[in-house]
Amino acid sequence: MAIIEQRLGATDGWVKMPDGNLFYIMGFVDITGVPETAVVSYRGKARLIAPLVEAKVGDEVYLTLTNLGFPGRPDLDDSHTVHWHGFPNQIPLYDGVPEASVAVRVGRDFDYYYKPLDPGTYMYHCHFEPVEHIQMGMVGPLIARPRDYDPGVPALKTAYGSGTGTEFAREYFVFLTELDARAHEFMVLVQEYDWSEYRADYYLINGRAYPDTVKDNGDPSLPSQPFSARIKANTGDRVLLRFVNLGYQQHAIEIVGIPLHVAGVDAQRPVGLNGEDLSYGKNVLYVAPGQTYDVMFTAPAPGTYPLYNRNCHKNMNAGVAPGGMVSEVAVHPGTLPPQPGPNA
Amino acid sequence: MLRNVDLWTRDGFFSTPDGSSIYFWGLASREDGKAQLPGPLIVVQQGDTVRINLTNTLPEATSLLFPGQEGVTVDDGTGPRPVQPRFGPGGVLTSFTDYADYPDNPMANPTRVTYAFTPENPGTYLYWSGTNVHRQVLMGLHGCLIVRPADYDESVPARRTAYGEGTGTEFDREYVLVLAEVDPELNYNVEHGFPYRVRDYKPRYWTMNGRCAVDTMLPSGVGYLPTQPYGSMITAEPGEKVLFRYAGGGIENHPLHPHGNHTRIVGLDGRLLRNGATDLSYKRFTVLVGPGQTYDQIFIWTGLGFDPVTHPIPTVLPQLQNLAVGHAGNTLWSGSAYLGLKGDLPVGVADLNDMGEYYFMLHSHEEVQITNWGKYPGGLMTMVAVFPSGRLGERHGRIPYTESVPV
Amino acid sequence: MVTNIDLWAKSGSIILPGRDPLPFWGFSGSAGAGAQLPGPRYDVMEGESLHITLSNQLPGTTSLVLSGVEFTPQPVKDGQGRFVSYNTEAAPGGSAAYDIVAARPGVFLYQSGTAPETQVQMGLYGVIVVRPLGYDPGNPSTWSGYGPGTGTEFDVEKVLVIGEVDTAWHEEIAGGGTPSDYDPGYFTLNGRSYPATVDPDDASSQPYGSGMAAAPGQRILLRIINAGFLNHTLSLDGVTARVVAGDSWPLKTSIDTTYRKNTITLGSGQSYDLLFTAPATGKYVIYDRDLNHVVNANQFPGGIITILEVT
Ligand SMILES: [Cu+2]
Ligand SMILES: [Cu+2]
Repeated sequence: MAIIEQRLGATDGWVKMPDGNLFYIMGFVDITGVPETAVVSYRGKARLIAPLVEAKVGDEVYLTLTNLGFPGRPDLDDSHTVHWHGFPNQIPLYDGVPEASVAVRVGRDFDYYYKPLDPGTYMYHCHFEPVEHIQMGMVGPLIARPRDYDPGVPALKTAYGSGTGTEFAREYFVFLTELDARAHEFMVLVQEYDWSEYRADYYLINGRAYPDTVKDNGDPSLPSQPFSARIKANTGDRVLLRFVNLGYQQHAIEIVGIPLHVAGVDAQRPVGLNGEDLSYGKNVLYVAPGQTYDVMFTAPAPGTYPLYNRNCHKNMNAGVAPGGMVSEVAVHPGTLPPQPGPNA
Repeated sequence: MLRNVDLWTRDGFFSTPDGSSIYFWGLASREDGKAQLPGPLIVVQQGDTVRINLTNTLPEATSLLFPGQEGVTVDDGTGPRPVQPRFGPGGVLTSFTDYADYPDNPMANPTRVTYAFTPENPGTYLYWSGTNVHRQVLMGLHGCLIVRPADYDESVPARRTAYGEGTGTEFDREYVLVLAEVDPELNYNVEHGFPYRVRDYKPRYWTMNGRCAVDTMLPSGVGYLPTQPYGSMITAEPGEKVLFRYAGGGIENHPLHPHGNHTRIVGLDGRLLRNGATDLSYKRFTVLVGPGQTYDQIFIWTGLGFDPVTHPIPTVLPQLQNLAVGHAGNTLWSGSAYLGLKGDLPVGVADLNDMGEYYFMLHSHEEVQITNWGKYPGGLMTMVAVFPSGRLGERHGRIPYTESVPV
Repeated sequence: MVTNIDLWAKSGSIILPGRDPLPFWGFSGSAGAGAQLPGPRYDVMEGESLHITLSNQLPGTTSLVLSGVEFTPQPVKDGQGRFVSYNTEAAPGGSAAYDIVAARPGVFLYQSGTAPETQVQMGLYGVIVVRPLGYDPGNPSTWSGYGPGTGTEFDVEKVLVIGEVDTAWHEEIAGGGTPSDYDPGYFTLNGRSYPATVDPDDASSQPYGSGMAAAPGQRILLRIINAGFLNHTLSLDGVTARVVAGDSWPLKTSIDTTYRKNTITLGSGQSYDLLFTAPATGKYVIYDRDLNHVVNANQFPGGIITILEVT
């Protein structure tokens, strides 16, 4: 079993929406292996969504959180935490709830420790002033791989372990959040926001709104939003979609022409107490905040299959269509090389 | 067994932690009692003959629906008959069920009715008003009904269950969480006779057992919340089976997420998730609690075995002055990584931790709902407190078997 | 065997309680008929190939997609690479054809795939009911939702399509404008708001009633599908039903994963098949437990309410 050391910086930054509007965010940035003297250069470089944290069951994860402060709001000295949402049997020290344990001050580090026991799709987020910090962007994806996971062996490249029927050729996050423009603008203007006035202006997948969702990973026009939401596969590939909702609204996602099979919910395979297979089909996946779904399909004939939010009024950017929670599944006739990693 | 439950509709005021006092319509369990939010918790047993005697003192007719119960009858003084929706001129629905009229109605219909039913299935249920539902349910006329299985025996662990012996629903402690929302402007309009426009509904408060956090964490029956008798603090010891009974009393969906562990959902709407030998229960870390629906779940926290001697934590805790502790001036943290131990806390931070117990937040993940009118913390939030083994005592989290109205 | 379905997309008007006629866009099943809300309901057999021709009589382009059905869409993109339509477009005055296989039984939405945020809200949706092999409309002993072994045999069947109407959007879009915040004030079952829901089927632009009649002991299959943009929660007063299918996937196959509910939440686009035995004689209210959806623009009762009458 491996020891995984990862270091996240908590700071602020800016994201861009397809209509050209820029929004101030708070978020995490990966500073693993960055020399101590260079860490400061990551101030203001928060990513939406936060870097992927990935481990196998049995691995030991040492996740260091470094609070880099907010260069865009030097008057603020907010602490931060990492909450691994859904981690079974956690102790408060590593659970990241400041009211019930500790938070990380500006300029300080803290080591969280996790030894995952159950494979599946999770999420992490800051739990300090969570209403504000989650909406501001301190949210990220987390995968716990099964103990026997081996991407080089098709029978062992699974979501839940060999023999669970969850073999996949490609995997993608579909990470759902929203952006309330006023909340972000008020943050820059140093104004209090009444969160009961929350309204989403932008609906994001993997931190981007359509049509930015279909741009490639690391597109230079989106330096703070590195994750594509375009799903690519070869005909016949088994595709695993890892849905996460860290917005403040429920969403209903549908792929035109592709019904879905639910193979996991909240990092649990749907099985009864006696191992009964309770997996099921869905035409539209209805996901609430704080839930994750592992959904599978076999890539059909080559073509472009739109993915959209069946709450169709959310397929807009600040009221202008097309936009919002729209992306596509691009199916190729066997011409795609193997996928090097999630969302790649 | 015959079980009589007397309820009076009444108006009153409830409080929020940010200092608001909000008009509401609720149910009282005594003629001289106060209205309460939510309505009194009713606990009966499978096979009982349950009689709910409802007396109306509100300025409009009211009624109660008992979803999940079959064969409900009503008696307004002329003998029991099956409940039926009521229709007015033109055949338009006036009430979803037979009602108790308001006292000053010149038609002088009865203001007291008795609903009766025999619960055939154990589990968690809601009851709510069936009259002017768009207003009365939101104003507070809803509550929770627990039906104990026929073989229930609190003193026998195998029979202290949600759904009966052998159903895998044994519990050591149980908690009811009734969720709802409040738009104070709608309540104000009812109080002052202004137009009630439910389309303008915009909740500013979210209630768990009628209270907003942080009041949710206060004990049941605190004197300064006379109309909100039910606390939502959950307590348990490691390894215990804790039955969470979620019930959606309001009109919106709320994704409830407990830290600490998944829950196993064993029943929905008062029906065991089992078909013959096939077990249909499933584990979730977030349960979307829909309006009018109930979710019976078993939560167990066993921990990861950390112990200062045999299995110390594998990280070094920074110096206290390098940590942020007690941001709000107090903390639930013990100062120690270990269950049952206490450590140093910063000077000036009030220590709310009793004996090194662990606190896990349980809250709505629609984070605006953990505010009171937009200010965190508040709303749909409470804590699950895990105490060291043997230190909690038996009575915590035991809802009395026969007592329907603990206040 | 190929079944031809001919649809026309047209504008028309609908009546909501207490309100002047409202412009809408809907489907009709013949050149001469008016648009209707929801679109015409079709009954086809499992395995049938459907050749759907859509003739567009709207001012702008439109298209058709089916939900929950495997097919290869032919999306249309604009010069900036953004979706204009999720499937082949029919230009104004033109038409488009779609070939679909009704591969599995159930209730499926068909709807506009062009600017669905406006066109579906304007009324361009309907359902196709796919009957399982062996189903014979003339022989009640063959009636089931999903065929032998699925525990979905019924005596009485009712399809309830949930929808919403934002009257400001309708007026804005019909006038060629762009709508703002979505805030529907009317909530519909089969295109009507209570009390019109309990009126019988008729020949209007809202032809489908939602009232139900049964005799005690009859098996009722309630097929609820949410064509609205919001989630909705249906509550069956006095009845606890068995959920026998979700999104037209039967829950009893090799093992029986059906379960019982008296109130159930449907996300947008989702469906549930609920089976129950008609209780004692009397009337039973079925309504939206989101109690701000049982009004017509604030007026109670209204919206998503209907009645089951057991006689
Ligand atoms: Cu969380
Ligand atoms: Cu949390």
